[in-house]
Amino acid sequence: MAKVEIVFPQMGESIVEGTISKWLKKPGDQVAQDETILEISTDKVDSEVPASTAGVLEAILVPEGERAQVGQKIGVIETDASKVDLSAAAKSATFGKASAVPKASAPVPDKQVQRSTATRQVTLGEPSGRRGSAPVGRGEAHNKKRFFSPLVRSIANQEGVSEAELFYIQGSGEEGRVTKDDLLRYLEGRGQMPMQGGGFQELPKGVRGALAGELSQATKKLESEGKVKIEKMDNMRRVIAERMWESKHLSPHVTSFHEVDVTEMVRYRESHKKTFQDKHDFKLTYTALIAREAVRSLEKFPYLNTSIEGDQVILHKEFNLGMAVSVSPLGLVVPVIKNADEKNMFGIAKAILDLATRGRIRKLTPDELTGSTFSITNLGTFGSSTGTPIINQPNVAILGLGAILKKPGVVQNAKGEDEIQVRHMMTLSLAYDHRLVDGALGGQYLADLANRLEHYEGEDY
Amino acid sequence: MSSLLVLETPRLNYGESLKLQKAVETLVLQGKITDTLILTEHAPVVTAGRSAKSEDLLLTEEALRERGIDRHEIDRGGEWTYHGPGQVVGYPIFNLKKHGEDVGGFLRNLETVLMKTLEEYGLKASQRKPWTGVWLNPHTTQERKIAAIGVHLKKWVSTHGIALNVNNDPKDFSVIVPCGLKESGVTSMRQELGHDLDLDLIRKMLIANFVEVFRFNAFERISSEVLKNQVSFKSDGTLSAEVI
Repeated sequence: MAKVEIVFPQMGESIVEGTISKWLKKPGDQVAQDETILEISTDKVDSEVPASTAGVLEAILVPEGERAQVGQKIGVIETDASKVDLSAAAKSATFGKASAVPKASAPVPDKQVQRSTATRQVTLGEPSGRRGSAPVGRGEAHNKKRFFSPLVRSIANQEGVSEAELFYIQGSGEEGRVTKDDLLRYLEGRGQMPMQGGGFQELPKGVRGALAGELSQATKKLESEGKVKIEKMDNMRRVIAERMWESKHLSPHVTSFHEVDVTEMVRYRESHKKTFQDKHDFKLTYTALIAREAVRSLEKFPYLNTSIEGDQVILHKEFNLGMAVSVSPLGLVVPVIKNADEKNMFGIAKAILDLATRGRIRKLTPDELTGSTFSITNLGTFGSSTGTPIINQPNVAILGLGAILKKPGVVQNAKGEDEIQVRHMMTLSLAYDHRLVDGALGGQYLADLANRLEHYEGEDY
Repeated sequence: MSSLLVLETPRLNYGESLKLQKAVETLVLQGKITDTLILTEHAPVVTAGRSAKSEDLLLTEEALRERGIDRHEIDRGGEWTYHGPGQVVGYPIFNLKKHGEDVGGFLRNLETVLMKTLEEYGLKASQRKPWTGVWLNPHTTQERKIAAIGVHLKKWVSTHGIALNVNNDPKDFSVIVPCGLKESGVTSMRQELGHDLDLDLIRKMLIANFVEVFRFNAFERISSEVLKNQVSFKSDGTLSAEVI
């Protein structure tokens, strides 16, 4: 019983107008809900526009081949077939202007008013949760340039409200300007909207917002005074920045530490490093020895070899070990040792050497960079005793290896007496996603691994 | 974000690839499968996008047939383009509702995927505003296009996609005015680097860059069986697609 306007759909922030490429229906045609009624094109993209409601296409307001602004009325669907006024439709199509919208075929004036208030607007597909919360006024808003104060802009920027979204906010200020209070009210309302897809899918937008910030005036001033030099992040750095931001926001991180006496392991390596090098032509590293044991411990605690999707836990049957490798300058990749549980110590050592070498020169294939189920990072390369790593998504835990440092330690001598000796000590840290992993599990894993390293026995290679 | 599904196919006739795309589009629209990237190669074909002008096709129907070049008018954005052996064609059939409902952002991301892939081979490619696509030396007298983009959207699900000139001869484009751009040349990776490239490796690079740029967790190769027998390949490498 109503006229429903078809408007040129919102297609993203950068798109402000497009062309009507094809009307698939002509005035008078029946349209079913969701049926494609026209095609529009913007640069290199052709889109179908479905009807949001069933009815009869009453008017085409912008004919094929003409341009329209986002939000502009381009057609009208009458949901009540008996009310269709095709003469008005035909006339308006000839003029092809939004201003020529037929007011309706109402026989009496008061009905006319009623119908225009019943008019709804149609957008491409279903509105997203976020946009669904947006108030009215989108039609005109996009055709006009609107002013937003620096304060409103900076709030919007911090809250991840896009320019396009700002346009949808009804302003209460002078000439309909959006005030700080309007924006805050809008944000409040937005917070109450259910997040789509568990919230994670919404993240990237915020990430982009957080990273695409303009330089502040203060910084620009410093630059003009020659006091700072500005560099743009390269692609790899930007991806790292986004991933780290995303992981920290997605997973409540907790880190547990465990100091381990690795003297036995150090002795093993000292006595085997020459034989190993002679036999295989590469160095036996502590990272390889520990990685091997870390996987063995992981097999005992399957909930650390998982990922989370919504409220579901994916237990991985493969043990694919991500190894963080730094790439100069300022880069990081995490190549993956697939099926690490099927490899012996030599196999893991060889895989680490190969992936790390090719990782540093950026020569890894895509298969080698995806699919990790648990990760390890070496924090001790430059002597750091420990650290709190960020989880490599979608893993739920990452093991950090601190430097091996000589410390005085209390040990029992042959006579069963305590005495102080020089011991090789190392601090393991495990950062885990507290959504799934509690301190008990994290602690048990570290204890199991510590026990293996303290009583390190070695294996054939 | 979930895994990217990747379907690599043998060389396809263009008409068959359209059927395959429609079948996958339907499955993605119905939510039966997640975002899927089809990687393929085509027999020689010229295709006209929605904005194509007839005068930009430089050969008659007959001359095209003599040269064994197929011709299709399709529902993607953009003008004329050419596909042929040696070119890597990618059809990202993605639900853009999961990627920010941003058409411009989608195009820029496709360009980024291509630029990153070219970078692996030492080719410094860039965008060429205001046009869509990927160029070498844009805005200079030497500017030449190395990859083309054209997309169709149905309820935010994309079809069509990208074409990267790898081992194909840029001269093959001479049957059309590519993308309606008379003043700009076309090139291929082989022409730039002076040797043939491993198409398989390039497809792998593309997959990795799709995963990275579109922020998937991982990717998963699927076979046509995953499409629930709605699409299958015949033994001669051709395709039979049944659109549900």
